[in-house]
Amino acid sequence: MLMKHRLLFSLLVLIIGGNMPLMADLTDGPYEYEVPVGVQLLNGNEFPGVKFYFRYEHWSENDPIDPDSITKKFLLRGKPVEVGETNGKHLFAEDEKGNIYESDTALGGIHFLDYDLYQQFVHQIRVVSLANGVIKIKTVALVEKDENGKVLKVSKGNMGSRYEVGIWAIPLVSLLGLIAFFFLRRRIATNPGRR
Amino acid sequence: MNLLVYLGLTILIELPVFLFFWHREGWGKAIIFCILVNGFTNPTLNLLLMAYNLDVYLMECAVVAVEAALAVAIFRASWGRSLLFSLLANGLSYGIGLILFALRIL
Repeated sequence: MLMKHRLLFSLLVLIIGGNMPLMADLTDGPYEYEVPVGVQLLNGNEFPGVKFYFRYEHWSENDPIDPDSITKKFLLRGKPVEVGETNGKHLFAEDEKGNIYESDTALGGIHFLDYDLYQQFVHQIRVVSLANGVIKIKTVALVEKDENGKVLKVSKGNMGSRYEVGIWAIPLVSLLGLIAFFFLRRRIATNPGRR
Repeated sequence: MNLLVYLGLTILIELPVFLFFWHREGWGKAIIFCILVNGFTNPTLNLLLMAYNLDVYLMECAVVAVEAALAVAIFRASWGRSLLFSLLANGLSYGIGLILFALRIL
């Protein structure tokens, strides 16, 4: 088959071979900056007696996780907490009775940018509810700050949800289209007179 | 917004490959197939890469396999031809994407 398409196969080899040095340049090049994302809780005072925090565990290559080494980074009113994890971390809460709650989504994390203009991103969040061990969260704004803490931009609104729903609609509609395409072609193939 | 730009560019770059391989099925069908396949795989790939710390090369391989499987299912083409088509289309769009990214156009 490949012999039949010798020209195409050569082109494929050229594309893959040609991409290699470029990939190496891009991965090694000084193009990406890690920008930490902070998390700021706006309505902690609506939950009196509840402490909100992120959990950090001491970990080293040779030691298992030591339960005593868990440290809690509390969210204080008006102060953003940096969450230096690539995929973000879950927010925890503890009420007066000692009940522990965990957020259903990860927060914070690291943004990868190809420029270092914005030094920090802060997600401003509101806790919607605490129930059945779960913290429901709404992200209300994204604040972008420079290295001096000066606010450069505030994007208001429930970050992402409408946008994400809209974007996910494209692959879903496309998949439905492909399924329809598949069945229509099968129908035409079995009933050639309908073509 | 960027995701829509990536999708549009991918369709434009891959369209000649789709037309080359599938024009015998009808030009219109080849164009619709190109839009639907990329509409399915491209945003899915980008959203998954944004949401999870996944290996981009592994994900590209998955996209090649999915697009080849779709060509086999819909056009009843052979696996060899479908894989060659999918590798060419995705290699081309990924390569041009890298160049645009390196030139800071994207």
